[in-house]
Amino acid sequence: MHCTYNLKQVASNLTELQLNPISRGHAMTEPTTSMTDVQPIHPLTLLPLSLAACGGSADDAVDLAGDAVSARHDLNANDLQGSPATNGNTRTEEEAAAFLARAAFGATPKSIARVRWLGFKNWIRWQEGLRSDKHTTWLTENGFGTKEWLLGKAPYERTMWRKYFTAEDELRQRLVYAWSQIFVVSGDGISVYFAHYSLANYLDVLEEYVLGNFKDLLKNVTLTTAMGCFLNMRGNRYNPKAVPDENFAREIMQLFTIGLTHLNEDGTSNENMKVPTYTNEDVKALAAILTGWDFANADSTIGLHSEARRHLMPMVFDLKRHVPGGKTFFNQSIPEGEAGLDAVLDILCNHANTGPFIARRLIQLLVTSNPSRRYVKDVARVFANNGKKVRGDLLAVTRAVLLHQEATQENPDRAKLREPVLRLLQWGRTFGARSISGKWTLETTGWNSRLGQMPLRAPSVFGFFSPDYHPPGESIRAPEFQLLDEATVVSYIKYMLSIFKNEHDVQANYESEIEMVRNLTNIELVQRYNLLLTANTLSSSTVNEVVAAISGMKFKTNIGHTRRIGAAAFLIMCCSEYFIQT
Amino acid sequence: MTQSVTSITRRALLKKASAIAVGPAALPLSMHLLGMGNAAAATATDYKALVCVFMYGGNDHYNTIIPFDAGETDSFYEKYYHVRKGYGLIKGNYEGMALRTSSLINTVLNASALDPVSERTVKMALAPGMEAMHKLINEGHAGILLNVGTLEEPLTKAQFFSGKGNRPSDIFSHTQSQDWQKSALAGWGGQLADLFLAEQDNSAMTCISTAGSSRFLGGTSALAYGVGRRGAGRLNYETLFYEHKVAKALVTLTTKDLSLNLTSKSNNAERMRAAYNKVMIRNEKTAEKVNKALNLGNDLLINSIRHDKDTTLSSQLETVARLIAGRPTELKRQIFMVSLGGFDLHDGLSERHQHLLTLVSNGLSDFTMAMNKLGLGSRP
Repeated sequence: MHCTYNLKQVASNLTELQLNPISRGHAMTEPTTSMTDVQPIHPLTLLPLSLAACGGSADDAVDLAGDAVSARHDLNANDLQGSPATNGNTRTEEEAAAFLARAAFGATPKSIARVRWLGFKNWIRWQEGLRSDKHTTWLTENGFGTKEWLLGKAPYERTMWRKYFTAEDELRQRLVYAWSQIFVVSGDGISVYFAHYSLANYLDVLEEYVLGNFKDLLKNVTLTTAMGCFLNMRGNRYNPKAVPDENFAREIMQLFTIGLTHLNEDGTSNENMKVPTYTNEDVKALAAILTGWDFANADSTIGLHSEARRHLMPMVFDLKRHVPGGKTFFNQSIPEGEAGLDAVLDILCNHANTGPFIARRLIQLLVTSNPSRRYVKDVARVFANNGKKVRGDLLAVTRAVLLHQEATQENPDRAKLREPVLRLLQWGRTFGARSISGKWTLETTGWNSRLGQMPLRAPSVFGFFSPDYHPPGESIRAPEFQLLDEATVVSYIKYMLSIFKNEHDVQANYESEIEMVRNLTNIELVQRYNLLLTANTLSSSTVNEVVAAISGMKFKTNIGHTRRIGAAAFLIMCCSEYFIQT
Repeated sequence: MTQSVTSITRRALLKKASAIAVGPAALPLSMHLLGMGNAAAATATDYKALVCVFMYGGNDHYNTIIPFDAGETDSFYEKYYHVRKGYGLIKGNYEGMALRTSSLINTVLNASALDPVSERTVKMALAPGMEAMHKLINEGHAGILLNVGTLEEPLTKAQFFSGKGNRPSDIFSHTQSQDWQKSALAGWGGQLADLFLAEQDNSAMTCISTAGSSRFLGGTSALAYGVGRRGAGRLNYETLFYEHKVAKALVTLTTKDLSLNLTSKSNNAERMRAAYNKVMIRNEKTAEKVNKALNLGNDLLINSIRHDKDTTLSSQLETVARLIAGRPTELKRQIFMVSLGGFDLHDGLSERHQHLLTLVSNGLSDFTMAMNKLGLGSRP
């Protein structure tokens, strides 16, 4: 932990930088005009900053699993010396911005500088050590744990938005968002007292384990009250006259671990001869094995009602409610009792499908909709073995996804549609959005008259989109397109317009942005947002059109500046060149 | 919607179904059933519409239509009750998960079902929350097709358990089954629309969804048009950020037809960008027509939706009713999709199922009234 502390200090010492919008595409090591703009970084070079495992190599990509295991421990103050130049760091501004779109919620001049300084690999290492406060703690501190909120649910949104918009551990938050789309729970299917605690705790649990081991993540998610309520494992009990509920038993296999058909290591299956991964007998057995779990009992504490507090605890096992006797699952005998849970989770986590299944989902959610077989295979192999014979090391898997050459190098087929929620968060991160009231009320964004997507409110356990979705008439997969129709493409634009006009409680900090762009010409302004929002993927004709559109705007006053900023960034965020992340 | 089926027995249906079983094997049975009628006769001069109400999560049909023959020999109700009564815990209308006969007396149907095995007619009742639907059926405005599903071929219980015969693929997976129900290779709603498009040149108005993107309406050339709760959205701003040029640029930038530049060598990003703009362009071309139909329809249908006006299903059906009322006269065939979620109930069945069914029942009843008002309710 001492190492991450130092890194944190170093990184937070970075002062707000103003990038020269014209000097794009230059590596930091080159003596270009952009060097003058990174002057503020100089105080850092006085700090001993460099990272041992860098070893002077030109960053990332090669060594996928990397030293994920040692990464947790091998950074210390003595290793922190040198400068970007001696690190051999050659990432350009747009490479850094593109990386931040995959690994975080977006880019600022400051975060771009930081990524270029540290390199991708060490940025991940720095981020991995960061933690932010707990959602459930915030709820209690803000008074949502008292009996007046017994029937509450919506307050989870406040703390969720708060951290998605502002938490410093952006990689972790981004992963929480991604995993919440694999292990789906939806507030609409959770009817329980203090449902906001159930949902907030679910996010807390994801945060705790998304960079840990897959089995720990799966087990702790399984035992959240949110998953217990949503897929009915909670209260599923032995009844000699009835069969146990099979909901969770099915979904943990179909959606959370192994999928429906046997997969090759590269995530493909034989289209002509699909082999089912499990039988209905397996489902029945699994349902019986997982009986006997229910909420823990809790006492009230100050500001936290007992019915809320129990959501903070894993569900507990009661042998009296458990289907008696041993069971057979995947041809293995499973002992009666609480130990059955670990036994079946081991089987599922060790199944040959789980690596490629999870690899493909994570790649699609973070990097690209149509990964090559090789990409999936490389990540699946890291899932199987992090280099130290550990299976399911999610830090290693995350690094493998984000540092693979198909993610970081020139790759014409890398493309995915940015989800509406991610676009909103990118706006917030880019423009320093804050809650005016401190309450982070954004109402629901889910209706098709708004964004058309609301986190933790997917219509079902299948989430917002299927990983195999093809838009009508298209030959390629583009899962996120399932969120689109004529109504939502237009309502997104209208919603973003209200967002840019600061009509909500969550508002951009235009004052500080104005200080950054006060002296920029129109083309410089557009180039700034081209970099920050799209990693410089706008075509020159689009850039010209946006420049022309704002060319008549006066910006002597702050109001004028705000309008110019809004018009330029809003137009960019409405272009298909922006929507498709590459 | 315009075809009322009052007395088709399962037996008669199966006979007809087998007569058309030579059709494309990949289509769900329900597609074949549509083919039987003249719904697909795109050359017709009259107006017909198909409205698909999709119940996401899978409806518990055993608690929607219940045999009402308790006390008779080999009673179907007794079998249902035996399987569902659980511990026998009585809670409102339920004993375990079985609806009690006393709760069904107000919703017993006049027509009976025919059991093909015993050739016995069986009284049936609707769920107690479906009184509006009950009235519709008894008055001959609606009917029930039983045993219509995703079977690839007739399959007996014995065959199923012995592993013989073709089972529908992924039968235990909701999402796959939902996709299968809505579509085979292309959505069957979309395939019908493809046929219609040969005869009517109004692509976007042919398939309309208030339920978001759906495989049901995706054809080869036909694409669903998505309508929001406030009608179609327009980007007809005079100014944006107090600038005419910004408002104009928004439209230019978002509706560029990028598909014109696509070649076989285009990469995924270029394809996706073109696909995104296609949706924008379709909206731009159609929004005005859709809103015109909606406004015209609104005037014709004032206050015809009586129940649950604000619920998601009723408001979607109201939108459909308005679109039908105000449709362009040259349009002869339309397909709509609306949806209601939340049917994946598990342990919430006894609390929430009846409420959902009431929404469906009231929604369909109101919709039928609206169609009657337009003179489209019951046609041969």
